[in-house]
Amino acid sequence: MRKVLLALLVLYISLIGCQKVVDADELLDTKEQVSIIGYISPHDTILKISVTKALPAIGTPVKINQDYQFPEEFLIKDAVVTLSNAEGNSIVLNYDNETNTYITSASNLTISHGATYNLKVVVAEDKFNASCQIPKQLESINEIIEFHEDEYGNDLAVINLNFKDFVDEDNYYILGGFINTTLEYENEEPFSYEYPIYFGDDEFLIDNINEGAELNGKTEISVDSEYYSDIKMTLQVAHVEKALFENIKTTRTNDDVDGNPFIEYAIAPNSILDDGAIGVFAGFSVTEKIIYLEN
Amino acid sequence: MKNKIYHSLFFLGLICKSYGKVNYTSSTDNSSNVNINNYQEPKNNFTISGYITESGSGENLLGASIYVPELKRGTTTNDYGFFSLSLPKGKHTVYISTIGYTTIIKEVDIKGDISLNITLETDTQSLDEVIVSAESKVKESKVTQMSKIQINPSTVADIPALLGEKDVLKTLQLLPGIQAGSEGSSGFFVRGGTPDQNLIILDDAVVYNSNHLFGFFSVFNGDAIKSVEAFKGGFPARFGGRLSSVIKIDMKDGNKEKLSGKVNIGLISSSLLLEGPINKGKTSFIFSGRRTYADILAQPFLSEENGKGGYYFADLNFKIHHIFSEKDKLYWSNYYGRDKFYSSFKDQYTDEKVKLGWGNITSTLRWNHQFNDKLFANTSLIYSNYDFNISDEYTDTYDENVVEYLFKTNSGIEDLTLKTSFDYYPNSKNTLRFGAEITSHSFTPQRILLKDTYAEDIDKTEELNSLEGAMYIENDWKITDKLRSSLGLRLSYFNYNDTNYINPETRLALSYNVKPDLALKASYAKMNQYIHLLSSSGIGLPTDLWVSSTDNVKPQSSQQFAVGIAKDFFDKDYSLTLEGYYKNMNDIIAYKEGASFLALDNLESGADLDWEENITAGEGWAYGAEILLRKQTGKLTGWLGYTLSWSERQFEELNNGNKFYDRYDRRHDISAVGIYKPSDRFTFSATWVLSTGNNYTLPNLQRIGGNFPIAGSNFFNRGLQDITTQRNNFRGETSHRLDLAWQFHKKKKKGRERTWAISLYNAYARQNPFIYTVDTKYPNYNDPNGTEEKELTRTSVLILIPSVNYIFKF
Repeated sequence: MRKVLLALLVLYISLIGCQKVVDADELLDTKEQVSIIGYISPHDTILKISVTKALPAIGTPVKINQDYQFPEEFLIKDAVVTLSNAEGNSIVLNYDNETNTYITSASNLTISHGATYNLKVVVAEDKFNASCQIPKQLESINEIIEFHEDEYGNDLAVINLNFKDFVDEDNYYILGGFINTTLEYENEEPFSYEYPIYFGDDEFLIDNINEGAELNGKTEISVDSEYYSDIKMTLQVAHVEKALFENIKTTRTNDDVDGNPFIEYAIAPNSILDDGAIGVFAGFSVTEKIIYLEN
Repeated sequence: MKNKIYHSLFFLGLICKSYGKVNYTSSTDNSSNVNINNYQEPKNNFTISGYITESGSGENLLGASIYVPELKRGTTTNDYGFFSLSLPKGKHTVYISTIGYTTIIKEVDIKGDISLNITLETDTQSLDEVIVSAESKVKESKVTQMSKIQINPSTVADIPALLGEKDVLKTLQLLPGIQAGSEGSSGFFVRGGTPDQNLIILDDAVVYNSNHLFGFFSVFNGDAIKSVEAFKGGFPARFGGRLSSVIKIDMKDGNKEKLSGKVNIGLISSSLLLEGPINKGKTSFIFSGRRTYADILAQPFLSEENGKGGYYFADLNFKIHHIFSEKDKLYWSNYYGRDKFYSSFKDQYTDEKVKLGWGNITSTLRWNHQFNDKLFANTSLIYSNYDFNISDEYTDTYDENVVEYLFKTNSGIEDLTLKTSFDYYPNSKNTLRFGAEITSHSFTPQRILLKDTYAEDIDKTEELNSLEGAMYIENDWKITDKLRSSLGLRLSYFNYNDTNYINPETRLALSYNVKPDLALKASYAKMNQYIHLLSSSGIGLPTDLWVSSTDNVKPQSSQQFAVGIAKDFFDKDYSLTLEGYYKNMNDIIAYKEGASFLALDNLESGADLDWEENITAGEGWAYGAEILLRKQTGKLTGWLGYTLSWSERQFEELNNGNKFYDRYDRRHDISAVGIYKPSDRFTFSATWVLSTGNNYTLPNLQRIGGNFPIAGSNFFNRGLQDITTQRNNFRGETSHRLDLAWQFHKKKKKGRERTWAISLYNAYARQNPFIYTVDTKYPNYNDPNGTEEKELTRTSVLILIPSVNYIFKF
C-alpha cells in the first residue's frame, strides 16, 4: 500500500511541473550591437579603447578557446578609433592583436585632470561618438590598519581607508588595492604573489549623503606571517565618472545575483551617443598609497 | 505620542457625543415585524428603517435594495443589513431584493415612522426565478459608485478551483482590472498597481499577508465568508491607506436559528464549518477551520535518522454575534492563519531542528448602535498581526565536546486600531457617512538572536513605531432623478518620530442616467499610502517586509481618474460596464538594482542592515480600459471580462533613469466564467483565461568586459560578460488555461446535503510560464570546435491538476 501511495505521489508531482527550453528569438528582440569600452586617466602610459561586438546573450554559440583568448566572433579589427581633446588635437588608435584593443601611447595625447576628451569610432558605415571628462585627483588617502588573529589562528589586517570628498557636484569613488608578497612554503622555492584587496560593500562610494565629508571604506584581509614575507600593500582610490562607476558596479551586482530569480539584473549604462552601440567611455584618476608591512 | 492618542480619542468621543444628542423616535418590534410609532410629527415625510436578513440563518444582508418604483426612491442596506428610507405619507409598494435571493414585495401604509425587518429566501429555494421588477434590484446603471465589483460567496464556491480549494482572491483575479501575478498565484495587481497597494480587510481588520504556500492559495477560507467587495477606483472616502484597491471581505455572523455546518474533505486539505445559536435569536457563533495534511500523510515514510520534515497551513475563523437589543449589537470576529515548514535530524552526534513559519492574526470587536431611524453607528477595536520567523537550533556532540548553536530571526507588523463610523440618512436624496480612525503600527523589520559556542552572542532588534489616522465625510446625493453624485473628503495623518504627514484626499463620483438603463459615470480619487511592502518577487513570499514611511521614505500617493458607461439589459438581466482609467503614482518604492531582502543573506553574520539604503523611490503610470459583461441570475450565470492596460515606471536609480514597463504590465487579459445550474442536483462551471506574458529582466547581450586597472571585484571580470540593456526587456509567452468543475448535489433528510465536486485545473495541459531562467549548454570540452551556448528555460507548474472534494452540509 505504501508503495502504491508513494508511486501516486511521484506521479502527481511529475504532473504539476516541467521545464522546457524555449526559442528566445521570438520573445527577446535583441540585435547585435557594437560594444565600446574605454577608460582613460592621466596615469595611463597606454591609452586603450575596446571595440568589439555585443552579440545576443541567448542562442549565440560561442567557440571555446583553449588559449584563454577572446572568442574570434566578438572581435572587430577594422574599426577606425579616434581620440581628440577640446583643443582639436586628435590621434588614431591602432588595433593591437595581443590585447584585442585599440591602443596608442599616452605620450601622443596628454590626458589632464578636468579636461574633456572625445571618442569617435567608425565601424563599417556606422559612426559612434562619446565624450568624457577626467575627474580631479584626491590630494591624499589615509589608512588605519589593525591586526588580529581569527579563531583559527590566521593573521588578519583590518584596513580602514579614508579620504576627503570634493565639495562640488556628485562624486563617485571605487576603492581597491592589491598585496604583493613573497610566498614561501616548506621545502619549496619562494615565489612572488599578488592578490587583490576587496572592499566588499564599501568598494563603491558616493557622496550624495555626505557631500564634502570624510568618506571611508573598511575591509579585512589575510596577511599570514607564517608564509608571507615582504608584504607590500597598495591601496587605491579611483575618482571616476558616473558611467564608469555604474558600469563596474553593474558587473559586480550581476555577478552577485546570478542565478537568483528574485533579484532583478542591474542595467548596463550606456554613454555612447549614437544608436547601434553600447558601452562606456569615461575618465578616472587614481590615488595610491603604498604601505610596507613588517612581519 | 500619548498626547496624539489622547487627542484622537477625544475627537472620536466628541463625534459620538454630538451625534448621540440627535432626537429620535423610538420603535419596537412586534411579531409582525412592522411597527408604527405612536408618536408622529406633523410632517409629510416619514422614515421606514430596519434590517434585511436571510431566512433560516438570520444573517444580515448587505447591499440589499429597498425600492419604491412609483416614487423612484430607494436605498440599499449598509454593511450590517440596516437601511433607512424617507417616504411621503400614504400607501406604497416596496420591493426588497438582492442577488441570490427572491424578491419580496410589501405594501406599506405610511402614517408615521416605521420599523420594517424583512427576511429574504435564498434563490436555491426557487430556481425558476420570476423577475418581478427589474428596476427594483441594485443595477450597475443605478448606482453612483463605479469601479466596484461585488462577488457572491456562492460564485466562489461554484467556479473551478486549484485542488478544490475555493479561493476568493483567485475568483477576483477573473475580473477585469484585477490581474493575477504568476501562474497559480493568489497575489494580484489592480490597475497597474503593486500587491502592497491593495488594502485587504477582513471584518475591518487589515490582513497583511493574504497568501498560503508562497501564494498558491489565499488565506481566506471561502466557507466562512458572507460577502466580497472589490474597489478598483472611485474609492469612497471611508477607505484609505492604499493606492490601488480595497478588497473588503466580511465573515458570516453565524446561524441564529439552528445549528448547522459543513464538512469539506479534499485532496490536500479538509475544512469544517460549524455555526449556530448560543441563545436563539440573540447570540450566534460561527467557527471554521482548515488544515492541509500532506505532512501528516508523509510521516510514515520519514524517519528522524534520515531527516524528518513537512509543511502545512491552517486557518481558523471564529466569530460571535450578540444582539443586545434592536439598537445595539456586538460582533467579535477572529482569524488565525499559519504556514509552517519544519524539519529535524537526529543521530548519535547531531540533533538539529529547523522551523520556518509565517501567519496573520486578526481580531475585531465591533459595536453597532442605532441612535434612531436615521442614524446608525459602528465602533470597532481592531488588532492585526503578521509575523515571519525562522529558527535553527542544533547540538553537535563529539567525544565530550558539545557545540551548541541557536539562530532565530523574525520580522513583522502589529497594529491596534480604533475606528468609528456613522451612517446618517437625513432624507431620501442624501446618505451621509462620516467617521474617524486611528492606528498604532509597530513594525519589526528585523529581530535576530544568535547563540554560538564559537562566536559572540547577537541579540538585536530593529523596531519602527508609527501612528496613522484619518477623518472622513462622504455624501451620496441624488441631485435629480438622472444625476447622482458621491463627494467625499478624507484627511489622513501619519506620524513617525518627528515627521508628520497630513494629506487631504478628495474623492468624487458622478453618475448621469442618459436612459433609465444607461448611465455615464466618472470618478476621481486621491490616495495616500504610508506603509510599504519591500518585495523582491511580487509573488507573495513570506520574506516580503512591511515597513513604515520615515523621515527619508515618503508616503506613496496617487491620483486616479476614471470614466465609464454602465448599461443594464433589464429583460435579460445582463449588465455591461465599460471603464477607462488613468492613474499616476508618486513616491512608489522599489529595491535598488541588485538589492533584495538582504536580511536573508546577512542574517547569520548579524551584519547591520539598513532597508532604507536599499530602496529607491520613483513614479508610476497606469492606464487602460476594462469591459465586463455579466449575468447574475438564471440557470446560466457568469461573465466575460477584458482588460487592455499599460503600466509604466520611472526611477532615477533604476534602468539608468529611463522609463520602463512594469513587470506585470500586461497588454491583454481576457476571462470568461460560466456557471450552469440546470437543476438543484447538478452544477457545471468553466473558466477560461488568457493573458499577455509578464515582463522579465534577462541578459540580452554578451560582450568582452573592459579593462579597469583598480584591483577589486572587477579583477577577474575581464572576459565575456552578459549585460542587460533595458529593465523588463523580455516579455514572457502568453498564458491561457481552461478550468472545469462538476458538482453533484443530493438533498437528504432534515435539510442535509452532500456534494461531490470534481475539478480539473488547466484542462488542456497548457504549459504556462511560471519563471524563466538562463542556463548554459556546455559542450564536449574534448571537441576543439565545441561551442557553448546559453538557453532560455521556461519552468511551468500546475499542468492538468485534477481534484475531488466531498462536501457534506447539515
